[in-house]
Amino acid sequence: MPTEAKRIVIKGFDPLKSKQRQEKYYNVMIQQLDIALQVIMAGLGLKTGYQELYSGIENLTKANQAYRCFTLLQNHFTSGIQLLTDACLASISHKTDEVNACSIVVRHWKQWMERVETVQNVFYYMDKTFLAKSPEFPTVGDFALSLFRDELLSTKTIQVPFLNDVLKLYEEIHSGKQIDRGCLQEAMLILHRVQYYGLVFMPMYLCFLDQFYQSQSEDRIKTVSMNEYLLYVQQSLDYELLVIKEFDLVRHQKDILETLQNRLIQSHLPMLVNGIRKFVCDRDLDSCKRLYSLLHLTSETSELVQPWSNCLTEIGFELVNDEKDEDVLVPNMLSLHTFLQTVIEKAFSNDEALSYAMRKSFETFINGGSGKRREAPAKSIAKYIDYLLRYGEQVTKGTPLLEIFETLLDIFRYVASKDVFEAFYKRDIAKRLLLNKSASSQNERLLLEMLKKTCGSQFTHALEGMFRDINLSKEFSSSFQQSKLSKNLHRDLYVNVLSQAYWPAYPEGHVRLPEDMQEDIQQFEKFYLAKQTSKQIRWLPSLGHCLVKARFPLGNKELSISLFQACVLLKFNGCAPGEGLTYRDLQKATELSEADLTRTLQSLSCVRVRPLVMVPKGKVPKPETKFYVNEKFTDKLYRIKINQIYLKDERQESEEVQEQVVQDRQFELQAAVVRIMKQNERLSHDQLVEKTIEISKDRGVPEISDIKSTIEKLLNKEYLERQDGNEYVYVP
Amino acid sequence: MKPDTRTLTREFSKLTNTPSKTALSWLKQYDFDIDLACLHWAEKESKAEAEKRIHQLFDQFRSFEDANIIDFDGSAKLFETLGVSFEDPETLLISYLLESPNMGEFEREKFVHGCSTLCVTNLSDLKNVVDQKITLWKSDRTLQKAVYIYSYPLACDKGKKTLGTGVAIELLQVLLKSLFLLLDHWVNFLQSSPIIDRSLPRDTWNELWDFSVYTESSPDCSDYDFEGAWPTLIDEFVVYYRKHVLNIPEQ
Repeated sequence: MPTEAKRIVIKGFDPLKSKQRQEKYYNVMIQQLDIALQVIMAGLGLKTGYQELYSGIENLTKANQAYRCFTLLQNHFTSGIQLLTDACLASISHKTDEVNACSIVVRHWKQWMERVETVQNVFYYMDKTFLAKSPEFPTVGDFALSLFRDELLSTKTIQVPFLNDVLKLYEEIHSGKQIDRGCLQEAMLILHRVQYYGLVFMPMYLCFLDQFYQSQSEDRIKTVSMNEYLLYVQQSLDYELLVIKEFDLVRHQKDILETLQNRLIQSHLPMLVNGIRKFVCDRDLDSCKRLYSLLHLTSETSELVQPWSNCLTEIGFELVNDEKDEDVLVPNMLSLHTFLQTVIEKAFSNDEALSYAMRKSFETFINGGSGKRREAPAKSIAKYIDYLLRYGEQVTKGTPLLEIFETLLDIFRYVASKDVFEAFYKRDIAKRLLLNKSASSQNERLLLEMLKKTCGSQFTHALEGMFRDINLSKEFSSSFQQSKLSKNLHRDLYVNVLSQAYWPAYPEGHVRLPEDMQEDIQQFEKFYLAKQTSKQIRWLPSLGHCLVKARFPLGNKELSISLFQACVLLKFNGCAPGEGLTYRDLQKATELSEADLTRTLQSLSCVRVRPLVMVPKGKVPKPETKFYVNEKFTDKLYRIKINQIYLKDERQESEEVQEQVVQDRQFELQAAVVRIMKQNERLSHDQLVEKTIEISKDRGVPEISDIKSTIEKLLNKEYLERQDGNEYVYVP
Repeated sequence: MKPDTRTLTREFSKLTNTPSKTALSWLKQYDFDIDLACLHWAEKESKAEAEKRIHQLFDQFRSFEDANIIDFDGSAKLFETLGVSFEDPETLLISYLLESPNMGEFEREKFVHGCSTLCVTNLSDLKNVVDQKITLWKSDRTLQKAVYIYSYPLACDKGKKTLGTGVAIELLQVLLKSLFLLLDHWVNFLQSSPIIDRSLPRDTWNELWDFSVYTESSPDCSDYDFEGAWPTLIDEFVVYYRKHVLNIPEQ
């Protein structure tokens, strides 16, 4: 059974009194807060009563009295900040130049934050519950910050010195001076917290950086060398990154770096890219790398292409047109090429445009030598290869021959007149093979293979033929040795049989051989023709050489000499002691031409090694000039080589080779034009020129004027006819 | 033979005074259309007649040694009769018209062919036509070019195919007198070039005409194409001209 509700009475509880008590409590609390705030704001700190105040706030907040507290807070804060502002102003206006306004503001900021923190702790409950949740009321922290910004910092007489001095500190850092880093860091903190950083500070900072680096870079670029300047730029950029990190500027890192790049790099772009020339000349790989990476930052690497191309072409032309020292052309080109490859690979990260520009430059200057120098690279490369193949690895200073060949062929690809190279190479290889001057036949073959790959088998066709001839000659000689015909030989005989088609043309020369020699070569001829019935043999005495044993009073010697020289010397066997032979005698006996006999005698009596004596002494012997065996002949070596004097010196011979090439080219051109016209019957002028160039370019790009004169010749010979409309017609 | 064929043949034969075999073959050619056949016969007759007369004309001037040639003296007489002196340039025109193989010489066959083309059978006709052509020659470009081109082989020595540069220059000064603006410079150029001792190639002679036309529109040769089909001698001339006459610095 439910009991009746009883009325519960609490004794001593009087709602009205309770309310009065509450009111009284609140007022007391407010008063205490008032005092506390005053104390705090005066900078005296809160020593006691913290707990009470804290609970008071809690209670007031719970009792919806928060707004009263906040009003209180507001008032005190406002007066507090005013106090600080005045103090700050006073300090700033009384400061000396050494004192930084920045430090003053920082000091006052610290004071303010200290006080605010204390208040925050006291008002903690209200802050976190009431203020945080009410949109009309700011939190204590926010309020404090806004006051600091709007009252203290917005005072022009504080703000301006503050910002200026902040910038001054930055300037000092950038100039390498020591500063109070802590102060600056605090200042940055302030700027961030009051939100001056982005809108107010950063534009000023960027402006400062811009001016600073403008004047710095302009100074430096005038006074220091380019590679030092690049180092300076690199260092400045690196340093700025450190500054950014240390002073919390990371949000604007991109803008800052862009400003620097603009002033340091982009403003001086022409000067910077033109510095590439010195770097290449000095072979300065590091500077090239630095330059490229700096340009890469601002994506301006394409600005480098033109100066790069120009300087390479210039340097190349200088090399090619240098007439004085022919021998260094190829080694210089090799080292330049190797260096440039390294630069492109390591410094330019294989940049496509720069790599292409380099190749174009090479092509331009290698083929662009002026006048006579035009064919110099082709000639010099051939000569250099001859040098390498004669002496082998001992002259390469450790670099493997294969590597050098590869670089050489890389360069050779740029050369347009490959037929000039071929002519010289052919002449040189013939000499090497015939005179056995090659250091290693393996190297010869190696290079031949590489040439075949680079230039095609047509190019190396004749050269391979030469090798075949030499090998065949070896086989032939050994089978000759084994045959019975060789039993009749008077002395050792080795014959090189050359196919006329492959070898350069040599003058035959004529000499009357001693009887026994004649018999010997006839035996060989008999043997050869028996084996190769359809062939004909022509002897080239001008190319022959002998090893002759000589008994001189002062010692026996072996002389390694040419066939002509040998024939002349052997004639002296028929002389009595003290007897000599006149020029006329020798001419009759040897049947040598005047030119040949003269230079042979000169080579035996007028140069370093003199087995003969000329009487009377002179340069050019006359018919009556007499020659005697040199009784006093001696030499430190046992086997002595005596060189034949050649009619033409190196330069003349080179010119002849080149003239031959030019003539060959004309024939080739005529043949090419006729071939093209036969195929096409009717072509316009431009088409004919185009096709001719296409056909010929592998051996050498013909000049249009040469093609035109070829066409004219063919018109005159009536192979071609002109037709209306600029056409040519083939006349069969 | 069909009756009508026989009749036609007889008729034709009577009309044309030819044997029946000839009449038959002639009629066959024109499908036994007797009118057409007669027409063509008349033409041929007149042609033959004309040719006969031209031959007679030729005979008036022919040489004693060779009946098929009008030699130097004959030519002189011919030119005189036509009212032209040997030194006049009009002799070139006449030589061209009458297909003379060399200067001062005419060949029978060619002469007859030339006259036929001009439709002249006697001397007075020839004189009229020649006068007309002389007038025409002064203004008609096609005729001028034809005579110009023809003059090269005309002026060559007998049996030769090329013309010495000296002679060529004389001819040019006659033929291109008011037509080629740069003629004097061209002559100077030739005289200072090694080609003066050799012969001027025919192709160059021919192309020179086109070049003279070109220089009318471009007297400073500013747009001359060195890589074009012009003969190399003309290329050299343009270089010479630009350098020494116009004094344009070389590029």
